[in-house]
Amino acid sequence: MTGLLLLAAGIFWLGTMVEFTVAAWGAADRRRLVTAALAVLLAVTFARAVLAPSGLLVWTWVAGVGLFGAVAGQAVLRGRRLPWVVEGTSRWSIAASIVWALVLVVLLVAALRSFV
Amino acid sequence: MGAWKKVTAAMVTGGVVAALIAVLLRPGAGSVDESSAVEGDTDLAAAAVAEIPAQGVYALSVAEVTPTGTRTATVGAPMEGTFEIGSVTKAVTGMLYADAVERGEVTPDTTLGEIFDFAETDSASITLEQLSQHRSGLPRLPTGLRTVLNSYRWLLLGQNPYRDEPADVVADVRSAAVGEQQPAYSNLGYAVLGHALAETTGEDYPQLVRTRLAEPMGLERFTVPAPGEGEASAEAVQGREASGRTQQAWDDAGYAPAGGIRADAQSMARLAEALLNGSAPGVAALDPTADFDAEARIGAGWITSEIQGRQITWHTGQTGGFYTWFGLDRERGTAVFISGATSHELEEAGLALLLQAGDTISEDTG
Repeated sequence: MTGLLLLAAGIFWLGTMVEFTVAAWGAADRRRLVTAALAVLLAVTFARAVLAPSGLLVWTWVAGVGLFGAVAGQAVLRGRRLPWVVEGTSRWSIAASIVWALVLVVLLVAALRSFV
Repeated sequence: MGAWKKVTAAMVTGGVVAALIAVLLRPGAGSVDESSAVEGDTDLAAAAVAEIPAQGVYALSVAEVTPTGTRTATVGAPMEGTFEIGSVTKAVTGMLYADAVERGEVTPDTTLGEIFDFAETDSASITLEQLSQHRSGLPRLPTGLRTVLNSYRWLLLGQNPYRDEPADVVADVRSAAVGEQQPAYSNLGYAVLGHALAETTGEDYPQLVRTRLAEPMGLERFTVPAPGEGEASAEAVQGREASGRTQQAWDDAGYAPAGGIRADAQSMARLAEALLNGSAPGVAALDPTADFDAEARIGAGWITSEIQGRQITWHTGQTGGFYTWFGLDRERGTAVFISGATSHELEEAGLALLLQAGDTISEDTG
C-alpha cells in the first residue's frame, strides 16, 4: 500500500510539474500560472505526507521542491508581464478556473492541517 | 541584464530558496535524537535513542525492569506522557480473560453463544480460549466495503479507521464467516473477547481495565479513553507517522479490547514488575498453552518466542501514530517497554534493550 501511495505521489508531482513548466514559459495569463503552481504545491504536500523519512526519498523530495522553486522563479518573471485574465476569455472559463483554484486551496489546507 | 541571465538568476534564486525551505521541512524533521529533551533516566533514554531508527520517531517512552531496579525515561515528551500501546492491549485483555477464569466467572470452554444471542450461527460455538489464542476462525477484521473505506480514510487522512461501538463488533462477529480454527491473528476476535468478558461481568471494557488491573496494581496512567477523548487528556502525546504527519487517536469503544489502551512509562514499568513477580491479576495469560506458528507459542494473547536462547514473552502494538513493543524475559526477571510516536517498527529496538538488560545482569552476577 505504501508503495502504491508513493507511486501515486510521484505521478501526481510529475504531472503537475510538467503542466507548471509549460505554463511558466507559455501561459497567456496569470490565472493559468497560479492554478498550475497550486497543483504542484498540493503534490509536494501530499508527497510529504506519505513519504517515510528514509535518506533517498527525503532528498528526492527536497530536490522536487527545489525544482518547483526554480520553475516558480521563471513563472514570477513571466507573470509580471501578463494580465490576470487574457482578453476574450469566456465567463465559464474564468468561473471554472476560480472553482479549480478553490478546490486546490481547500485540499492544500486540509493536507497542511494534517501536520499540525 | 540579458533575458536569459534574468531567467537564470530567477530560477537559481527560486530553486535555492525552495530547497532551503524544503530541507527545514523535510520528512523526518523534528525526529528525536541524542540532543532531544529527556526526562527520567538519561542512560536508558540514550540507550533507547541509539536503538531506534535515526529518523521518523517523534516522541519516545521507555521502561526497563531488572532484578536490580526499574528505570523509566521519555524523550521529546513529558514523563507522564501517555502513548497508545495499540495491540499490546490484547495482552491486557488476555490477562482479564485469565483473571475471569481464575474468578470462576467464565471457563476456557465458555462459548460466545452462551454470552450473546447468537442463535445457531457459526460464531456461537467459538470458545473464549479459542479467541484468546487467535484460533477462533474469525477474520482479522470484518470483510466489506466499510472496512476498505475506513482503511483508506486512515491511509489518506490519518484518521482513526475504527469507529465501532461494542454492539457493532458483536453484530459483525455474529454474521462473520468462521474459517478453520487454526492460529490466525484477529482484531475482531480480541475485540469480541473483551466485550464477552464485559457482558459476563456487568462492567464495560474500560471499567474492567480500571477495576481489575489498573487500580489493584496502582497504574496511575493506564486507561481506555472514551471515544473521541483519546487526545483530550493533557498527558496525551500526539501520535505521528514516520513522515511526521499527525494521526488521529485510535479511541473507539468497539475495538478497545484489541488496541485501545493509553499508558505512560511508569505504569508500564509497574505492570512489568507485577508480571515478573507474579502478583499481576491474570498473570497466567503469559503461560504459553498452544503453538502459534513454527517459531512461537501463545498464551492468552501473549506470544513466547525463543530468541538467542532465551524465552521472550512479548507483544507488539501499532496504531496510526504509535508503535509499541513490550517484552519480558521471565527467567531473568527483566522486562522492557518501548513506545514511540511513529509508524516505524520498534520491535528490534525493544528486543535489543531487553537483551542488553540481561547482559548487564550477567556481568553483575559474574
